[in-house]
Amino acid sequence: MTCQDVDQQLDAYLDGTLATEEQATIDAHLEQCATCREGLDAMRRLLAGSHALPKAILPSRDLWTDIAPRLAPRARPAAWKQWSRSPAVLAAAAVLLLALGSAVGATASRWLQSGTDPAFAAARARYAVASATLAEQLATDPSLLAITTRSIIAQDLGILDAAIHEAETALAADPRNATLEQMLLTRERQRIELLERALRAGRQES
Amino acid sequence: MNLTLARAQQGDTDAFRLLYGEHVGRVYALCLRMAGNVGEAEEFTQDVFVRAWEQLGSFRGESAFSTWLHRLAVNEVLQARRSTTRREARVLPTDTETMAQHAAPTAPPPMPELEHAIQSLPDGAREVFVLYEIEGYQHQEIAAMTGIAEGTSKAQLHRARRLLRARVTR
Amino acid sequence: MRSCAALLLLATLLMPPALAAQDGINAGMPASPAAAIRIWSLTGSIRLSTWARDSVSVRGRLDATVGRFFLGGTRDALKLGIESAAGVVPSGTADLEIRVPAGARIWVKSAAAEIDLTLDGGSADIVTVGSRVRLAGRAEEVSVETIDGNVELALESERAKVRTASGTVVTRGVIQQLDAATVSGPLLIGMEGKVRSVQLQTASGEIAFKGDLHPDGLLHAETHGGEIELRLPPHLGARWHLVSFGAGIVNQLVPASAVQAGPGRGEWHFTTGDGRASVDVRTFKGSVTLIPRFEP
Repeated sequence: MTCQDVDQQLDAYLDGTLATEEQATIDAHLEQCATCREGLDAMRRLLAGSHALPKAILPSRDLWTDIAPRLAPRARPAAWKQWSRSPAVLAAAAVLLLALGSAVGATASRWLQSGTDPAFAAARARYAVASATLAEQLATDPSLLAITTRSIIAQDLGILDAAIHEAETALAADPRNATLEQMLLTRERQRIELLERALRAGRQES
Repeated sequence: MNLTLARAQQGDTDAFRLLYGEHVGRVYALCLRMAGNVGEAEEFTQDVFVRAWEQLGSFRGESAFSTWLHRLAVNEVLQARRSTTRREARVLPTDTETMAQHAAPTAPPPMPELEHAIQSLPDGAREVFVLYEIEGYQHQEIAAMTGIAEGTSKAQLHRARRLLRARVTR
Repeated sequence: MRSCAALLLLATLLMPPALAAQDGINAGMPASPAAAIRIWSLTGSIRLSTWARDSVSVRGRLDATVGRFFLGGTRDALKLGIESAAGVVPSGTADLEIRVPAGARIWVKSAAAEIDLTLDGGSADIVTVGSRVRLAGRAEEVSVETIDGNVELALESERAKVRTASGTVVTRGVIQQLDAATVSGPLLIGMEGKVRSVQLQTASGEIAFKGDLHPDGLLHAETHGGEIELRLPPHLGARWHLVSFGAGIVNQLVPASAVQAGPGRGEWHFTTGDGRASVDVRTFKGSVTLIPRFEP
């Protein structure tokens, strides 16, 4: 058996898939050949090193902010899902909200027109629509929320709106700042979550 | 099935975000090693989670969620890498543009020599090496997932091991 | 004015006890160890703890004006609580003292009841408007949602999720994966042991974290206007991304030689030790403070 033969069989040897006699032949060669032994040891070290590599590596930036806007709402009817993805509908929705005098809608519309990152603009438009729908639902919901609770919600919505406005101003001055974009979307999402939570909490049944 | 998973299946994105937090490291590691560069790895990772969200309803809990997600990730990455339109549409880093160079502006953690060497393997050899040695799949499974013959998988592993040995012992 | 108040007080004292009847509650039924138990009670108090029996028991006091007590369902899925007239949060006494099998999956819906759960395994899912919520013991998973209620977790748990708008969140114990968010309420997070994932978020509330991370753990904190203070072990190996656009970063934890400012304004991005853990902290206009935490 030559060194080349051994090297050819090395994978099967290491993976333990060789027949006993083949294995013995290789063992016998290894006994005598320092070069092949060295090659085998190097391979063993390599594989041990590979197996010890971390199974998990965290990305160097938060990918969730790019994922979140791509998650289609599941509870909504399918038609809405298709609709809400169409840029024309997004633009129309933003314009409609603008007509309604909604500040959020105005912002979304501006982002749609400003030619910035389309994913970011689309996410904002979607949030604007959701936010407005929920706010209207909450205003007309005959729920258990006491006046004091409603005023707390209004106050917290005010805090979120002020934060959104400040982040927008900062982003206008530094349009390529991804951290600012993420922060802004986070606030928008918090706004929606607060409204959803208020609706859920106010319902007497589950 | 746990509460977070059940909630995510009902459409709770917050719950899904928790699942993301729990599993992103594993998925990203796979994507990074399979892709060989940060840009694609980030893109694939996002695609995997979006696909998982879309298919979450079909997860019945026969296997662990992590296993299901991992398999989905492998398929997603392989499919994306095979899709020529996608490859053409994207500005691909060249072989010489390693992960470290690509990620330089965001200061990645120091990467071991071995990881570098794996990144620099040719695509086919790298994929098989990562799936076999790091992710623990067998040749038969790799053949089924990648659509190559079992013999090809073995040959690619052979090639990868030798290239790596030469690179890390040099 | 004062004499008027005194008269009122006197009148109250002289009045006979309210005519409304107050019922004692004493009920029970068999339940399987991992039963799903749904509890409704809008007001008063809910105290729940576990026992080593395959049954649920409820004791308590209830003003008839508040509503009617009910308990029913099957061994695997029980419902209990106080049924009140629709559309109002009633006032009056409604105190429930509940024992459930360890490992039960608890679900609570309330408006203003004080909620106090001591668990031993199982899970809890709580939705309320303004209740003070306190969870203790051991659980696989808990979730608390409230608008302005304060939430206290003194728990050993795999996962916990807390949402409140203006309430305060306080945690102690070991929660492997914590996801807590408020709008204006503060997050005061203390952890024992090494935790795997902590995600904290507020709009204006302060964020304080004291604890240690698993070698691959992650700590993400994000706020618009709040201050962020982290007390971490001095030799944590982590990738750090710190952002404070408005107020700056105060670092007493990481050796200055390891710190790299940038890439952006108000941003630090650097690695310490093996860089396995991830600390990602962002505040728009609050400050970030890093302080060494030493073993007690």
